[in-house]
Amino acid sequence: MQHRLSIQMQNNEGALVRLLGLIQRRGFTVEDINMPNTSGNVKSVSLAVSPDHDGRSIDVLQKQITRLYDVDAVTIDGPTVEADFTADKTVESDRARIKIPTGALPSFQNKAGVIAGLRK
Amino acid sequence: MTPNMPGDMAERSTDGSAADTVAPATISGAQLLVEALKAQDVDTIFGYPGGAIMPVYDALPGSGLTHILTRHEQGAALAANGYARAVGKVGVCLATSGPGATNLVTGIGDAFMDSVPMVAITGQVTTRAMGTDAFQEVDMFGLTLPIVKHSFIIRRAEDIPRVIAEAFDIARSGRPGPVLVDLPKDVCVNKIEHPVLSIASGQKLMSAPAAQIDEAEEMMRNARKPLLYVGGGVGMAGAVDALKAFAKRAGGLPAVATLKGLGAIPTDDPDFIGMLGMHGLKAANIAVQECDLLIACGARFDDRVTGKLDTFAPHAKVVHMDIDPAEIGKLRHADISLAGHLAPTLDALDPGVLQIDDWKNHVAELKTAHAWDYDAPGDGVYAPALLHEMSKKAGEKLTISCDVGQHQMWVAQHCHFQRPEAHLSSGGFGTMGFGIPAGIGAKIGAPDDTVITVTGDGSIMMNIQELATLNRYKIPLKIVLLDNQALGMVRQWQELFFDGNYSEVDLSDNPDFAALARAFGIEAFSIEARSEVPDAIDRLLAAEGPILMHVKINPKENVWPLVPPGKSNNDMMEGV
Repeated sequence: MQHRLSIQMQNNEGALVRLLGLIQRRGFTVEDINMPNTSGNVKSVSLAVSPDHDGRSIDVLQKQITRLYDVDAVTIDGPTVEADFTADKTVESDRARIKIPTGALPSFQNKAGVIAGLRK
Repeated sequence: MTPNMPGDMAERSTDGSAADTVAPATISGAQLLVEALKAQDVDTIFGYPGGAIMPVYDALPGSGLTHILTRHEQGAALAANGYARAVGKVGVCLATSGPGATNLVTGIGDAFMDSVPMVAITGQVTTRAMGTDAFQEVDMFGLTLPIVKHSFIIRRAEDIPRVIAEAFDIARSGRPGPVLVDLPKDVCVNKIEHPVLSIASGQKLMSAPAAQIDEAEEMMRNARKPLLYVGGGVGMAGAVDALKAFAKRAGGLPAVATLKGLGAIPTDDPDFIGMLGMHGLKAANIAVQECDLLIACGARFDDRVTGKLDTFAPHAKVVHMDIDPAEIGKLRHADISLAGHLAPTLDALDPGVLQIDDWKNHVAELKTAHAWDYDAPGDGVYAPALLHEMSKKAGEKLTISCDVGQHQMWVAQHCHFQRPEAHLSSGGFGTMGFGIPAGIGAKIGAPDDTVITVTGDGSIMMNIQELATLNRYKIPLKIVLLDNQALGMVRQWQELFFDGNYSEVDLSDNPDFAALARAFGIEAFSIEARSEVPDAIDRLLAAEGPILMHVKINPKENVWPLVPPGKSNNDMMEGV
């Protein structure tokens, strides 16, 4: 399950590295991150994170982030819905990363052909 | 460059009140650092000079700060760590960039795991050279991110007073911990005019909210088998008196302690059962398994305490009080969370006298039934008996630092402690080599205490070079070396859990430790018969200078009881 965290922090030296390192060490993976450019030293960071295994509590992670000296506030915006590509909805993006099993595609031409097909 | 000259400890000034010097109109960054440290009431720092930190060492002579030169930076970090644990002040260590800085890492990690207030100052290459792989450059800020409470790189000399004040505030406030200050060489050399020297600092002690206090009191009144679970946070928070007063208001509460909680309730207090956990007293672990309310005080449900977590205190509700909200509910659900400073929280708790006489009688019976037995077969020295006798003879001023391994568990099990600062043990990190440097820090911080380092033949070799520090400053530390010619704890686990496949634990080619100590200029003697123990303890305690007592013990002696790793605390092994 993914969770979305909104973090307000002072953008002091190393603050973002410290934040991301803590999340990784405490057993979560950062799924996406958004940090808009703002004037001044205060940054708002929005993160989607998912636990690497059971037993890791988002509430404990929230408290562990809160105790970072650079961090002013952390809110949990609630679990985010995991992407469900079977549902009837459109995903728009400028870029997509597509994993193609190499064994099924012996040649570059084939791979290019698959990608061309996807574009249509 | 001349470091501070060594001198006899008795002549060393311990006056740290020299903070009101008037700063000259122009001052270097290094001088500013010295003034900023004095403004934080620092009188002693532990360190080792080198290239990038030379401007700071240039500012030390005549500064009013006492610098203790260790013989390895790890010794400096662990001495500052031991000093902080023993005195309750922020410990300060100093090293140069690169290898000097990385040698501090173990001591910083140790302070982080055991919540010890410490400021580590490292030299750094110049700001222009940073990031160019300059000589002795290492990203100390990045290296230590996971093991510091916070860290700074100071890039402008005028920031030094503010950063140092912030670093000390962070290190000692809330849940204490280590703070790194990385200091590029040019920042130390640069001169600034009319610096602002003093920065006000302070902290407010917040109790847990009143509504939760009420709920906790109600839960205590309803409990039939309440048990205090005392952790290291009690001593660190200076909440020992508050804890004792709370227990007294409740009419006396049976209590167990973690390794780091030992001494918060004196060992001989009738309500104190003993240490719980992997090598805890059997009665303590049984009481935990039977209790219906666990009152956790500055403790964190560490795996060495709980054993298999889901079988730990299975019938108990939990009241968890801690300064760090992130510890509450981290591993065990808390029915009542009391997040706040321990002293005002304990002061606020008044459940009235609890009606738990049956439980108290039962606990007293458990304690009697599982009391330690000091009659061991044979004529050799039985280490638990020696440590028990030694701690009783040494009196209330005793402080013991220990290393890591079997001897560390014997100290925790068998020595008597009247206060938590009397037991300096590397709990969370388990740092072999902790004992002697921590003992040095403790003796320098509390010169009137009788400070004994209990070590093993494995651990002592990890920081053996600090015997030179003992001799240099004539620090009257008393070292008890329990020598079983093996890495005993690893050997014990290999015996029990690896089918006796003894891999790389034989230390029978150890040096002659007494001769080695004498080569460092330290009085030393060896014993191996039980009949020699009483006189040996007397000689150890009577010595006026540093002394090493080398004790040969049976290599096959193991630490009992033992909860095998990953097993429930119900499954204590008591021998094989």
